[in-house]
Formats: sequence, structure tokens, C-alpha cells
Amino acid sequence: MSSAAFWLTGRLAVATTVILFVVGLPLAYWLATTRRRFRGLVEAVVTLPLVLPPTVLGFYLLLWTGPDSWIGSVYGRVTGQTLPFTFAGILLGSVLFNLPFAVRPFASAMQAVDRTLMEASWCLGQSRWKTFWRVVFPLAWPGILTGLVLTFAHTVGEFGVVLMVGGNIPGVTRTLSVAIYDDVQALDYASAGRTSVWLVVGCFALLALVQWISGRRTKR
Amino acid sequence: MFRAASPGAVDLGTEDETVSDLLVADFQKRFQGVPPIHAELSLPCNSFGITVLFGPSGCGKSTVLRCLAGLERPESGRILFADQPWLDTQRGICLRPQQRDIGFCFQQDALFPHLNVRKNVGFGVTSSMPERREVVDRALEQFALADVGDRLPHQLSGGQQQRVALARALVRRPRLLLLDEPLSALDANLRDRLRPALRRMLAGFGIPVVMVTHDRVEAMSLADEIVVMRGGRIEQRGSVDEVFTRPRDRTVAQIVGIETIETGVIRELANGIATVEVHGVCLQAVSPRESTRMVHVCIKGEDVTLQRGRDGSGESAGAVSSRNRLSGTVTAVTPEGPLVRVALDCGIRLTSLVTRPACEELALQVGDPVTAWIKASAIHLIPLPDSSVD
Repeated sequence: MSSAAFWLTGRLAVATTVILFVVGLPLAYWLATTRRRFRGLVEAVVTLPLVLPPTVLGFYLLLWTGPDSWIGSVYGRVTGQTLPFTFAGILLGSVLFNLPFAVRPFASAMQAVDRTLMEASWCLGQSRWKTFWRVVFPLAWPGILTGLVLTFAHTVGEFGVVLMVGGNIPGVTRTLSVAIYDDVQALDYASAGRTSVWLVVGCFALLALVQWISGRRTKR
Repeated sequence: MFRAASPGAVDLGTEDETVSDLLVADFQKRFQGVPPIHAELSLPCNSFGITVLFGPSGCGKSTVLRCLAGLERPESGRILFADQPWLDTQRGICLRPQQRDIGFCFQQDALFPHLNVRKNVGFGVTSSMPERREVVDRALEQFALADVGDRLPHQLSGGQQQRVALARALVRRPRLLLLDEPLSALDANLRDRLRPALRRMLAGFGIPVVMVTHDRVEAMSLADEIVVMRGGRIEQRGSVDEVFTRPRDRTVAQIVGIETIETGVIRELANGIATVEVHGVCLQAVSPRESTRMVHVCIKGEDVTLQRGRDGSGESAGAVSSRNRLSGTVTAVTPEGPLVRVALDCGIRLTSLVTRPACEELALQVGDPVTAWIKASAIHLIPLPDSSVD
């Protein structure tokens, strides 16, 4: 197992989780509290990566972020770099692909918070922003944590999108799961096996953590 | 009394420039599939007084309360608190709950489950307030919560939870307190004990209170003014006495729970006393103000006095002032808290509410012969709309 792939995967997973925490919370709060009609549409878009083959998402990302594309040219002008076959590129793919794994647990945890508690907070003079941090977030925290852990674990195991957008560049886009694929292609079963065992153990530990958190929540 | 708020017409276009001391509301709120809710209220906004919105569930009373709080946005209308517009749909004004400076107690208390009693009570006290700690301490003391300040809401009794909710709302010194079924989460015994205490406590804050309830006893014991609602509309407003003893029409009489409502014909009018025939039985009542032939006859259970036996001995002695004496039999005896509901057949169906000891003393059982006494002044006649004599 190459340590470069290990650190790259770690970096990708942490960055994806942090970005989805920042982006996903307001999106989930909006989904959980809005009464607007196009809420269903937004929810469908958020859920899409759950059912879409990763290769499809990767294919479109490649198409839309290429240097000839609108997004790609703007990005290139601002940063002087390209998105495909770079860390930024696989990070973007990873964030989009993990959207449902973060936003859905966030939103359902926030929906479970009694609306009258929010109304009570408003009537006590607290703004929506303060109400979120003082009432909604503390009460939805176990669900939010579950979403973060799921996102992290899922990013570690991400393969299709990374391969499509990032290719297989050691130290840049070669994550653990891509490394396993590469090892097997090269008939290096010993290396693939070592990496796989670590991934199994790591993901199992994370899921056990999720179970423990949600178990604690139901007990309360 | 509290009727200074001119319950009749709601005048929104005040012409004089003096500072108004009224909360005036007149708005409409629509929901799909139900009749629109139309509220028209006016009450003093600088002094204590409890206005009770009373009516069957689903009549829109909670919606009116939520509109006053700013939790619902009416489609049209205005709310004016003193001279501050809270709502004016024409000018596009609708203040958020945060801007209205109100206290709202929800039906299920809505305490923050992750915060202890002290933090719940202090939730709305701004941290910029230097004496924040003392303010919260005083509130805990005042609401008898000082010993449970560190407990979480689920570790409290129902009565304590209710006090936390009230303390949390009142510690901020709001200008208006809104209560949604404040005692409904408590058991009947506790409710009976808390009612007088609640009124006394609220009076100490000197702010107007608008309260929603469907409980007749709660409305009668707490209200200064009652607003009877049904199907989204206000049916009658007035003092407790006015609404409960002299309902405006049959609907209100039913809502306020008058036990006996029958239709009768006025046979004779003399010296302010009307003789009304109901199912062949003649009753004497104070004559209605309007001249009319057909009337609804309303008799409250509390006003029917019972005497055992068919021929009251009081009659021969002439010692009873009640004008109406009806002989009949007991058809049902149902205990109701401290009272017993006795159903009678005296030619007309009557209901009498007597205390438990009284019922035991009379040893009333189904089939027993009884005499019912009703004062003429206790019979309220409601003229039927299309039966005027002239």
C-alpha cells in the first residue's frame, strides 16, 4: 500500500466532508423547513447521485469541466489550471457524488426537530440564524454527525467518478480504491489485498461509530 | 369591568392624533379546504386583562393567536398594537415574531429538550443585559422553579413544565402574552388547582393576555372578555356573564354549553314577565327586549334546583321564590367531577347540575320522582329571527 495514495485519499475524504458540512447544512435546513413547491425538484437533484452510475456523473463532469467548456475555461482563467486529472477535479466530483449522503441525513435529522421549538425560539426574539445554532443544530447533531461519517466513508471508497475525472496519476488522483484496481491489473494481489483489508477495517469501524451514535440517539 | 375596549365596532381609521392604547386587529386568513378565518378584535394593550378565544376545535381560534404572534401571515387585514402596525397587508407590513415583543406559550409547552430549566428560562434574555443572571434567578424564584434549575424538561412534572414555559415567556417582559390552551396538558385535578393561581400570577405582570381554550370552565374562571368563535367567524364577544348567561343565538348557546335549549312560543306578556309554552309546559321568564313570538328557551344546569318527591312542600308553604315548578322523573345520573349531571323528564327534557353531597342527600336514582325549581330570571329567551310580531 503506497502512503501517497493513503494520504491522498485521506485528504480527499476530509476536504469533501468539510465542504459538504458547510454547503450541505444550509441546503438541508432549507429542504427541511421550506414549504415552496420546487422543494421536491431540488430534493430529486440532490438524490440523483444515489441512483446514477458514477461513470455517468464522471462522464458529464469530464465534459462540462474540460478546458473547452464554459466552467472549465472560467476556472482556467481564474486559477491557471484545469479541472480534469487534478485534485480539484476529483474533489468537485466527490462533493457532487456525496451530496445525498450528507444532505439527506442532515435534512431528515432537522425535519425531526419539532417545528414548534423553532417557533418558540422566534417568539423569544431569536433570529432564524440564532435559532438554527441554538435549537436546530444541537437537536439534529446526531443525524448531522451520521451524515458526515457516511460522507467520509463513502469518499474513501469512491472509485468510478475519481477514475473518470481524475484518471490514475500517482500522488495526484490515485486514491486507495484506484490503487487497488491498478494493483489487480498489474496482478499484484498481495498489495491489493493489504489495501483492501485496511479499507474493510476502516469502513467497518466508521459504520460501527454511526450505529453507536444513532443508538445513543434513540435511547434519549 | 374590562369592557372598556368597545367590543362593538372595530375602528381602524382613528382620526384623532392621541396615542391609542388599544390592540386592534381585523384580518382574514385562508387555508385550503376550510372556510376563511376572520378575526375582529380590540382590547386594551397597556393593562392586564384576559381575552379568551373560545370555541370548538377547528374553529380557527389557534390560527387567530398565531396570526397575532406573526407565526402565520394573513392574506388581508391589519393589526395595530398601540400605534405600531404589526400587520398591514395594503402597505406590505408584516412584522416577524421577533419584532413584535410578545410572549407565546404553546399547547405542548415546547420547552427546549436539550437545555435545563435555567437555560430554557434564560433563552430569550439577551446576553447584553448586564443583570441577566439576576433576572433569570428572580424568575426561577417567582415561578417556584429555583430547586429544579438544573433539571432537563423531561425530568419535570406537568405543572413544572407549564411554569417553565410561562417563566420563559414572561421573563422578557413582553408587551402581550399569548396562551394556546395553557392548561390542557395537565390532568383535571391539577388544572382545577392551578386556574386561580394562574390568573393571580398573570395579573401581576400588567399586560394583556389573549388565551385560546375549548374548556368551558377554563374560559369562565379566567376570562375578562370572551370571544366565541365557530367556523372561522366570531359569533359573540362580551363579558363571561353576558356570553354564558345571555348567548346571542342558538349557536352560541350550544357552544357555551347551555344544557337545555328548546324552542317555545310566548303565550302572554305581563309586567316584564313572559309566559312561554314549550312542549305543552308553561314556563315564566323575564321577557326579551324584542317583541317576538317564537323563542329559544335556554336553561343552564346550575340554575335548576331539585327537590325530592313530586309535590314540593315548599309550594304549600309559599316559601319558594322560584316562579317555575316542574314535576318529573329522573332519567339519568352522571357524575362529572365535583358535580353530578341529572337528566329529567318534566314534559320537557331538563338537565340539572348539582353537587355530589346534594345528590347523595337526595339519594337520586333513575326513575325517582322529583320537582325542579327554576327562577324566572334564570331562563334566557332568544328571539327567533323571523318571528317578530310586527
